[in-house]
Amino acid sequence: MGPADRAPRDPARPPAPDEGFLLARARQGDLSAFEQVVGRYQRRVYGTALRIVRCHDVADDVAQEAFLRAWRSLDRFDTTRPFGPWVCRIAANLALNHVRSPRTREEALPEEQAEPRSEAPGPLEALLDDEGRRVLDAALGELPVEQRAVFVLRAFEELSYAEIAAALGLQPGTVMSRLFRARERLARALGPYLGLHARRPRGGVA
Amino acid sequence: MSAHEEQRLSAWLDGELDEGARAAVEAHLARCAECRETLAALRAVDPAARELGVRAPEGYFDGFAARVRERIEAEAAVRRPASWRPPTWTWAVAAALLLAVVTPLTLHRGETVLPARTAPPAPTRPLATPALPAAVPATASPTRPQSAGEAPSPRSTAGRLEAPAPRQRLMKTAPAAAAPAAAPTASIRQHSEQAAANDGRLSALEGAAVAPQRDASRQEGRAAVSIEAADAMTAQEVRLAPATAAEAGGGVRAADVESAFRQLDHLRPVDVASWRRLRERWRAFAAAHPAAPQADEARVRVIASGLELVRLGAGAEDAATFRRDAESYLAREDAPQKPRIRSMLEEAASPR
Repeated sequence: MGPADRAPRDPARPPAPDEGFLLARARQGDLSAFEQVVGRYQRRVYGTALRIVRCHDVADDVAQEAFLRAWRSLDRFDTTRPFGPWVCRIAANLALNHVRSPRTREEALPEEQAEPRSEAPGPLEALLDDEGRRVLDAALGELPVEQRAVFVLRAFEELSYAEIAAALGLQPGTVMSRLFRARERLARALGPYLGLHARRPRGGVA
Repeated sequence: MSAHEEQRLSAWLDGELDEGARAAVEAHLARCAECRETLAALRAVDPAARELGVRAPEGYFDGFAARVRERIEAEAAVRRPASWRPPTWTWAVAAALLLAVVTPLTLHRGETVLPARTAPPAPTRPLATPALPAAVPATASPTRPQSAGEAPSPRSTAGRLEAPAPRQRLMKTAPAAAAPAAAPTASIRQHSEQAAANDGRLSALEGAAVAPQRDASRQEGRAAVSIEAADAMTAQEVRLAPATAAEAGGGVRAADVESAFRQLDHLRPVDVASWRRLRERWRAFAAAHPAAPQADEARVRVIASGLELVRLGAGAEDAATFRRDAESYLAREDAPQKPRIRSMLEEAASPR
């Protein structure tokens, strides 16, 4: 028995039927085909970047650069694999490097995210109210960026520890401990807002 | 606290523990209410975080893909001058042409030429050395049909430093290329241009996500190496190239210089320190091969690396180096890429 609340990763996000076709065309230099691929993944890649860097201008830069690098490396990409996780990994790495770079350490990044998201999933299933989201978002912003990058790749991209380790140049053990510390801090912040949810195990051990 | 399993609960949730650890965690959970509480709290984090949406400025995504496309096109336009250099595959083609000419001649004399791949080279026959592309175009030898798979692979020679001597010998014994090999040449060119156009400049990160075994002949395992390892390889290449050139003839030198150029071209630094190293390697390259066709592009790359350091906010010293390099380039007579350098200077001057 194992964790029950996580769907198998690949079937959860099957590549669109003609993604392989578009990528094959793009590989032959067809920029219009690549543009279509970019259109499909722009929100996801931008989201990955924004969640790590927490500043629109930087996320924009990182997202564009991620696609640019994907384009340059397209001939080495295995088109039978999904494109999204690959380009998100590139974006996460760029985002992390950006936040770590000396300049951005000097200039504190503007916090543009400390507001509840209006596009959040349906209210019926929502775990958190607006206040809870605001608190969780603030807690995410306060995580060390190394922990945040690992958490974003796991929670939003659902990458395996090995994939996260490869994307960020870490040991899998480091991924494991950073993820634990991130979740521990976030759980502490979330505690008061979850009510019964936090005490209702949904799988495995009860 | 150390008796608890807190540290491993998060990995247990992700199904990332091995069998033994998993069993231990589960046994502990069965008898520890405190850890069950912690587990429940940890488990709620990811779904809750997924409720946080991402908000971008109004209309931001409308033009996003087009902006990416513009950047790709701008980069291709800037890189074009460099791509006109005679690429490495020239040598594969030259070797194929040469064999196309030499093989019928030797066959005509009643001798048997075996392909290097299937037979040990006869010591008296310098042409059959393993360093050569081991193939003969089909038109060259009707008695020994070649499969398409044996066509000379330009990728197998690209970016690698090979023993120069046999090729040099080849060039001396083959004065001119002949018509019979025209068809294979065309297909080689097509293949190689694609390879050159898509020229992989992978950072370690990008490499980690691809399948290098897809084309094992190309840059063997290169996609999987770290940028540090790649840097080390490049340093070796830069040191090797001038020495090889000194002992070999002009033609071989060109291939090795191209190889060293491509090694540097493949590097994608990820931080200030590696950009600095790359900048200095381009500088060393330009100094080692001042008359090579790649030298101009290398001088530009010194400046481009400098600009990258300025962008990264590396410091006043790097900014000064960047300006000095750019100005000394602009002062050169033999500098066809001055507009590119001027736009770099403008970019560095404009606040981001």
